[in-house]
Amino acid sequence: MTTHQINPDACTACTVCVVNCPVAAATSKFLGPKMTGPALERMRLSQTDVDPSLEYCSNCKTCDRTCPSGVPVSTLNMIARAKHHEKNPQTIGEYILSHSEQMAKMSGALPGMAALTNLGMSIGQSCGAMGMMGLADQAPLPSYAGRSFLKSYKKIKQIPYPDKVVFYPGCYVNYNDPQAGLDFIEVMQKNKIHVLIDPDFVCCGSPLVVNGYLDEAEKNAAKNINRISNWAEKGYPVITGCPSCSLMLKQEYRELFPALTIGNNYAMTIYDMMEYLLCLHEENRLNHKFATVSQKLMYHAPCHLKVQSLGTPALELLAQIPGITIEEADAGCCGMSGCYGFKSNKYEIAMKVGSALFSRIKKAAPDYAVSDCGICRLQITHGSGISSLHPITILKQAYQTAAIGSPAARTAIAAATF
Amino acid sequence: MQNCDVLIIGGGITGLTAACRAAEQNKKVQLITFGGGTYQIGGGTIDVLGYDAAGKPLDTPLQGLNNLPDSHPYSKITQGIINEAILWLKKITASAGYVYSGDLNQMQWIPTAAGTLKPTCLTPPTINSNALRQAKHVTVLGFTHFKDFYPKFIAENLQQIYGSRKTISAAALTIDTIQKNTLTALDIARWLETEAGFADFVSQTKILVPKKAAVIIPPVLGTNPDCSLLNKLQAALDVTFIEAASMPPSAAGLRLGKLLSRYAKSRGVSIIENLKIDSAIIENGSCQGVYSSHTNRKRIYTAKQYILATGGLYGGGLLADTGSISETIFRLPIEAPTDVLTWSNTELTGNKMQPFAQFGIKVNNDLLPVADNGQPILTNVKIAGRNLHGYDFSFEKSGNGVAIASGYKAGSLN
Repeated sequence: MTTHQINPDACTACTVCVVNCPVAAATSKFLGPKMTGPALERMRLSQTDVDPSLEYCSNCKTCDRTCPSGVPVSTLNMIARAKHHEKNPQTIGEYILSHSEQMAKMSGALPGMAALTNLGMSIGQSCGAMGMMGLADQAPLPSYAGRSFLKSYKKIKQIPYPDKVVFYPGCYVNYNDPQAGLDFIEVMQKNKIHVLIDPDFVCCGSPLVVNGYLDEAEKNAAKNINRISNWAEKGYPVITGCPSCSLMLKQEYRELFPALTIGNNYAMTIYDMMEYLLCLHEENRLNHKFATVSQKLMYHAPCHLKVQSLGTPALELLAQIPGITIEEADAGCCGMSGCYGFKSNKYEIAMKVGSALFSRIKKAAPDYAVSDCGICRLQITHGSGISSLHPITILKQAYQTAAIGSPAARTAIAAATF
Repeated sequence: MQNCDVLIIGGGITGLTAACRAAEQNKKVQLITFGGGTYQIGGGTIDVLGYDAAGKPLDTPLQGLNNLPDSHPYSKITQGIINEAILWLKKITASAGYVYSGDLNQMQWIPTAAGTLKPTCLTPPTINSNALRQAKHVTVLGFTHFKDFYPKFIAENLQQIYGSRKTISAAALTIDTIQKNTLTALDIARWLETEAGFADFVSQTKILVPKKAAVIIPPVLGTNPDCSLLNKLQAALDVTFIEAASMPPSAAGLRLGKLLSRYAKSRGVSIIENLKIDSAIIENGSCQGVYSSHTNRKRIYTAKQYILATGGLYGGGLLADTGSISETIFRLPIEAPTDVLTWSNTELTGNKMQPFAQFGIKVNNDLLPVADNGQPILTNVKIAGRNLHGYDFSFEKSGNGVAIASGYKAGSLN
C-alpha cells in the first residue's frame, strides 16, 4: 500500500477535472477544481486566505477520479477550507451538519426523543427556522430512526459462524437507516458469516472535513485507525455500510492525516459492503440460492464509491438475481454530496446538479432506484419521487423469498419489507 | 471482474472501441481506466490520414494508406480492417442518432480557430464540411469575451484561402448571463442547452446571420451525442452549422467519448475508473494477471486476453526518462536513442515528423508486441492506440484514426 502524497505540481492543467466537475457545470460561482485546487494552492503558500469560490466545492471527488496525474484536488480544497475556518467561524447550520453523530446521540438519549426531534425538524423547516441557521427549508433532511442500528443489533440472535467480519455502520445507517444494517446481517448469515460490531468506532469524520473541522476529524481518525488496526491484526475484515465512510477511512485519512497513516497498513482490511460481497462472489463463496425477484431497478453509482477504484460491484451482484432487470443511471452526481445540498445557499445548486439524474430515473420509471449511499437515496427520492433502496435490501429479499418459496409468501414479505 | 474474457487497460477512444467491439461478440469485458481521458482535447473528428511523409496534403485518406511503410500501424492493421472500423463507427453513431459521415475516398477539409483548414476523414453531424464546400457566403460566428475564437481573425484568414470563391464575414454575439473572464466553449454549450440561452442565441443570431448561410462556430452545439440541439437551432435559424476545430475543452470531443462509453455500458462492459494498473504477472510469455498498488490493498485482475491501450507519452502509457523510454505495465522494450538531443527536431511545427512521436511498442500483424527478431514477446496481450510505434499523428493527421482502427482490430477476437 502506498501512502497518498499531495503534489499540486503534478497537475498539468489539462482541465479534465473542470470539464467533469458537476458543481462548475451548475454554477459560475465555483471557479472549478483546477483553479481552487492545485492552481490556488501555490498562492496559498504565500497568502493567508482563500478565494471565496472555494466554499462551493462539494467534495464529491469527481476531480480526483478524473485526474490523470493522481492529484487529490478536492482534498487540497478541504485543507484550504479548514485553514479559512481557523479565523472565520462556521454557521450554526454547518456546525449541526458536521456533528451529526452528537446530534443523533442527543436525539436518541431518551425513549421517544427521535420522534420528537423529527417533529421539531419538520416544524423548523416549515416555519423558516432552519433557514436562519443556514439550512435549506426544502431539503430532504433525514429523520432519525426510533431505534438505532447498534441498539437493534443487541437484540439479534446470530449463528456464531467461525467466519467473522466487523461492521462499521456509519452514522447514517446507525441513526437514520438501521434497516440497511439489519439487512446486511441477514445476508451475511445466509453466507455463514458472523457479523460483529465495535462500540468504540466513532463517526468517520466526513461531515467534519467538508465543513472545515479538520482537527476534530483527526481525533476521530486516530480513534478509528486504532480500532481498525486492532481488527486487522486479528485478520477480520471491517465492512462499511456507506461509501462515504469507506472512502474517508481507507483513502481520505491517508491524504489528510499522513502522521496517523504513514507506515500503517490498517486500510488493507476495509471494504465497502458491496465490494466485500463481490469478493465473496469472485472467490465462489457467495451463496447463490436466490429466488426470482421480479423487479425493474435503476442503479445510481455514488460519486464517493466511484472514486474508490472499485467500479460498480452492486450492478454485478444484483444482476446475479433471477428476475431482476437493472440498468445503470449513468447520469452524474445526485448533487447532495454528503451535506452540501442541505445548506440553504447550496440547495438550488445541488438540485441543478442532480437534475439529469432525476429526469433519467423519472423517465425510466423503475420499481426502485438503488444506490449504496443513504444520502444519494434521500436526494434521488426527493428529486425524482421514486423510492430508493440500498442494494443489500434487494439481496436480502432474494434470500428471503428463496427460503419461503410460494408467490403468495413472496408478496407478503415484499409488503412487510417495504 | 475476475476471470473475464478480455481485460482492457485504458479508457480512451482506443480502449472504448476495443471494449465495444469485444462486447459485441458476447465476450465478458472488463475495462480499467485511470484519469478522465483526453476527449475534451481531441475535437471529435476521426482523422485517418491527411498528409504524406513529406508533409504534402493527400487527395484522399486512401491514397495515403497505399503508400505507407510496413512499420506504420496502419500497415499492420490492413486497409480492409481500417475500412471495417470506419463503417462500424458510422453504424454505432447512427444508432445513437448522431451519425458520423465521410469515408476513405474523400478528404474533408474543416475550419479551425486559427482560420486555417485541416484535413479529416469522419466528422460528426455538427461539422458539415459539405455545406462549407458548397456555400458562397460563410459567416464566422463568435462570442464577445470568448478568448478561444476570434471571428474577425478567422474570417480574414479563411478569405485568403478561399479568395474570390467565397465571401467570408464575421459576427459576434454577447452572452450576459454567464461568467465572462473564464468563458469556455463548454460553458457556451451548456448555456445553449438552457431554454433562456437558446432563445437569446436565436434572437441575436437572426439579426447577425442571413438565412441559408453556412455558419462557422466554436464547438458549442450541445454536450450530448445527439442532434436535438443542432436540429432545433438549424430549424429556428434556417442556416447550416460547421463547428470549427478549436481550443479545449471541446464539446464535440466530449460527445464522442460519451457516445462510446454509453454504447460500451449498454453492451455490458464493466468499467472501473480511477484504477492505475502498474504491474503484470507473466509466465512463459503469457500474462496471468495485472495489478494495482495505489489502492488500499493490492488488487489483481485476471482475463484470458489483455488489450493495452494506455496511450503514449501524454496519456501515461509510455514514460520518458533521461535517455530512455519505458512502457509502464509490461516493461515492453521501447527503442529510443540514448542521446536525447536526437529525440526532437528543433522546429516544433516544421515540415518533418518528430522522432519522439514515433517512439512506441513494435507489434506484428496481430498487434502482439514483438522483440527485435520479430517474435511475439507476449501471446495474450494486444497493443492498440497511441502507444504503437511508427507514426506521428499530429504531423500526418491520423489522430483517432489509428485509435479506432487498432482498437477495432484488437477487440475483434475469435
